[in-house]
Amino acid sequence: MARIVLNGKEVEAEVGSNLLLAAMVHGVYIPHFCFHPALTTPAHCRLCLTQVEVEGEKALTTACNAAVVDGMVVDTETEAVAKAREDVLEFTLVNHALDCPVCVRAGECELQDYTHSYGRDHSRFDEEKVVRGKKELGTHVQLYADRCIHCSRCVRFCDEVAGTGELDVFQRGAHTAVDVHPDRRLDNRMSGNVIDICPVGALADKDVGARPPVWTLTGVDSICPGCSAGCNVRIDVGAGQVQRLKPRVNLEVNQYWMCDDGRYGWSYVDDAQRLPFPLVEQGGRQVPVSWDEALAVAHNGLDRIRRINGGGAIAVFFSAHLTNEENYLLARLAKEMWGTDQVGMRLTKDVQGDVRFASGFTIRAEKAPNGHGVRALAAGLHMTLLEEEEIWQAMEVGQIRGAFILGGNPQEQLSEREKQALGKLDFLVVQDMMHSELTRRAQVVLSGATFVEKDGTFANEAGRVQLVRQAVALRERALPDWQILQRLAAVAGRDWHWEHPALLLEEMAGEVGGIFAGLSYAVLQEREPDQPRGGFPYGGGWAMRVQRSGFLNIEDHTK
Amino acid sequence: MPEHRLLLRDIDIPDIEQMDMYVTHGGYDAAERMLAEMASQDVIDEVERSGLTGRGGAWEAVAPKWRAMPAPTATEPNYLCVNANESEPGTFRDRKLIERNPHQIVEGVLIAAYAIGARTAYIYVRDGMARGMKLLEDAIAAAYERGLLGVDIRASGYDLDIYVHPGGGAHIAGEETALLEALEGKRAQPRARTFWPHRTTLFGQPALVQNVGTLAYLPHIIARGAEWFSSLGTQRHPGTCVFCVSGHVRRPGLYEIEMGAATLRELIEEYAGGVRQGHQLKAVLPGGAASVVLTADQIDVRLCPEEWAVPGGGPLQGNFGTGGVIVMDETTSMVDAALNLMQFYARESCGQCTPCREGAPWLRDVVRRVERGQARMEDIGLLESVAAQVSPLLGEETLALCRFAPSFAWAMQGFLRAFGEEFAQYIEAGGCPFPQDKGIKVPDSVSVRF
Repeated sequence: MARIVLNGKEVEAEVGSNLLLAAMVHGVYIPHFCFHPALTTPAHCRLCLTQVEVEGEKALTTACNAAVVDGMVVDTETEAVAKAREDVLEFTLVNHALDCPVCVRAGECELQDYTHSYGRDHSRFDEEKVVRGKKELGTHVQLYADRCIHCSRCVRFCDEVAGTGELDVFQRGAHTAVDVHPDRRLDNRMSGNVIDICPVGALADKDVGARPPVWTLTGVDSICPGCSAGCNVRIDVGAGQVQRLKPRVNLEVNQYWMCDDGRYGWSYVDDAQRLPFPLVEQGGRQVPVSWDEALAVAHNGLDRIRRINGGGAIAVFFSAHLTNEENYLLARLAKEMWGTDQVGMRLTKDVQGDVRFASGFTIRAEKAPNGHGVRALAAGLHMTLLEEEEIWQAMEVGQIRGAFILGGNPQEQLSEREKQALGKLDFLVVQDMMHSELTRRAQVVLSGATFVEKDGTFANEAGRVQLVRQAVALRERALPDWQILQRLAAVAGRDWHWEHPALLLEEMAGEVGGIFAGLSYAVLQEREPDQPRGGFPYGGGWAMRVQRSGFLNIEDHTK
Repeated sequence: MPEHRLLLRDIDIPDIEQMDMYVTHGGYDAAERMLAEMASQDVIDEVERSGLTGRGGAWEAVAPKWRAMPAPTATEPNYLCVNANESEPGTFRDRKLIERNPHQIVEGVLIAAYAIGARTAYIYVRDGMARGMKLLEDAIAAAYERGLLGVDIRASGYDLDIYVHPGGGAHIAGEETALLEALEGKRAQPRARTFWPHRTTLFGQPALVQNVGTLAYLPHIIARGAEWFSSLGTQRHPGTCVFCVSGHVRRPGLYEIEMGAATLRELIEEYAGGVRQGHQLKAVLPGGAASVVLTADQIDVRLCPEEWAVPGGGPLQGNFGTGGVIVMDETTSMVDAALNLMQFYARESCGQCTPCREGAPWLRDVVRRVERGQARMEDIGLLESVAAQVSPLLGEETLALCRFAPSFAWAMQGFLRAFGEEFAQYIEAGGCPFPQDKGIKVPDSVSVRF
């Protein structure tokens, strides 16, 4: 440990650690553009100039590439530092398009905030600006080169984190421009992250213009359901709808990043194929019915099979797309009401396998967020998850007559094998949130929720249980899946009354054990590294963490 | 007073670029003796005793830098990187040294590489020196042929390969760390100096960067001994200095004189023959474009970095530069001259760090408005303030990442300090105030695409 003097106060920091981060830990924020904790440090934006003294040698130096040594005297509040920041910001703005009124980044722009906090209130630059125009870089990312301040975070991201190297700095001097290499496109599966790390509006989502301004959004912390990695995300909501997903920082899970599959893969939550109400098959057609009716038909259908053919004639499919709490309820239904041990889980795996990037960030092959949770749940309740094929075979030979399938897969597709097997059933109940080949084969369809419309937990591939939070209201008569299952139990005369999945988790902590042992919402909230603060959305990744630590004081207009 | 030629001694010998001719004139004697009799430490000791300082413009003692190099191992090699990216306006020393006596360079590189135990040396040559590169490559090939390069040179157990690396056309590649970046195959951009710790590396290994004009002294020092070399010049900067005199003088060219043996006035008036007939001296850029411009009455200063002082300016070591003296007579418009320089700097800024990328073109634009008569009086203050904001004149501190930005910031402030009056005349007159503009013509717009 080194003892350093930070703005007159003696504090401890690790020898050799990054000075900018060390200062931050002790509550002293040093503004910066080019620095990012996950990238190499070129120290060329020059905004983090700080007064540092070591062994009598005193200099105005960049904090981002200074290592802490014992006896270092650091001052960020001197006149020289304030002037350096003011001066650098003036230069930064020289060739920056001052188009804040139409810029998609306005309201969460680092340059805007720093200029407000540390800059001058007027510009002395009276010459022609360099005009570079805009350009489509890839499927998702648009470059507004006039706004670029050449921090090179995006270039370093592509080189160091994605390892794909599509971007580079071209030209020199005032004509310096970030661009894709000739004949290449910024189409790696992590490309959206360059938008988060861009401190200004130079890199933006292509569709962002159609969205409400960022200062009208509210952020809700949740988990991406795209694969079993369990990336920590924030769901930004505006006008009652999900507007975007941004990564939250979790060094143990997704670092500062999320992949494009997850970032742009949530549009099904507003899809026309969503199920707004439960359906029951009547005369060859599926017709909307009341919840009471749908649940009664579902219960009677399955109960009849149990009575005639025994519990073993009912197959139950858990869903890796649904929360632990919901699967727990289904497990109890299977055990206590239907008495079946024919339980399984359908799971889509990418034939490509895991996709690993240079930094270690990995898109998992398992295309569901909670496979680990379901497996842990089954193990904890002493249920054996059968191989899918075993169940399909049992259906085919008529051993299984009815089934309850928990869906939730936005890319639901049935294989020929599955279609064939399901065709032999007498009675099929599907609980899902979208019309699909699967729901169309069901006698009863129970309309559930997507991950943005309910609370619960997912366990990622490493068995880390993380909180999923409701961000928007459910439409029409659809219900959160845990409520549907609870009401189904009530039809069968069970007295299940959980007010909230939090209470289910507490029961599971004792009943299931394993990865759930000792868990509660309080424990999980405590464990979230990026504590919510006000819910106001800001950037994503690093920028959001800075804001959440209270370093960027942005008023939350939504409160 | 005669010149004292060391580096330039043999440049007029016909065919000196041929191995045989070079050897006939005593070439490679120093290297042969070194390989036969001296350990690498002996070479460093000798160079230390000679007091040789770097001729790239920093004027730092050479030996301590060599001594600081860690001992190389088979897996942790050292590299020697030779800076021949001479591209400062007003400098043409290295070009001549390379083109007129390439073996002197190769021998110097061999001695330095041997001293630090480097088995690979790169000579980074400015892209414009196609002829020099060819001559260097031929000289290197001849040295291989003669067994002075390659494996186990003269049975000493020492191996050395020298590569000529063509530059990519950037002035900034002459900055030590930018040169290393360029050698690594990246954009020639200076590396940020860390406050702590500080290491110079190539491909992650320790690297010594030395100017080609420094290494050219080594054959002379080894051949004639440290005592002889240190008896020349001044105590802090022994030896000679090659000055490149250009501009409005009768005999522009290279003049090698003992360090401190003449004043700037003597260099211009006696060696270079004075300002051309019928004209008077107006201004001198004493150390290349990067230096602070001097007026006609400021040139009675002795030519050695340690005594280099500008009246009222205090010691100004950086201003001594590399010895590129640009002389301007009264027909030169100082606004034109400043614009010329600012265009150079705006074009050559690597664009990496904010104050330089934005500051250099900003200054250029304002100077251009002054030149075109589109400026207001306040613009003089603006120029001064923007330049000082990048790096205050003669100050150590700068907002920028490397020493390129102080170059133009100081140059701008120097012009305003010495000739601010002339800027004001331009503004008052709404353009060039001189009856007939005989100045260096600057094209209307220099927008160079790279």
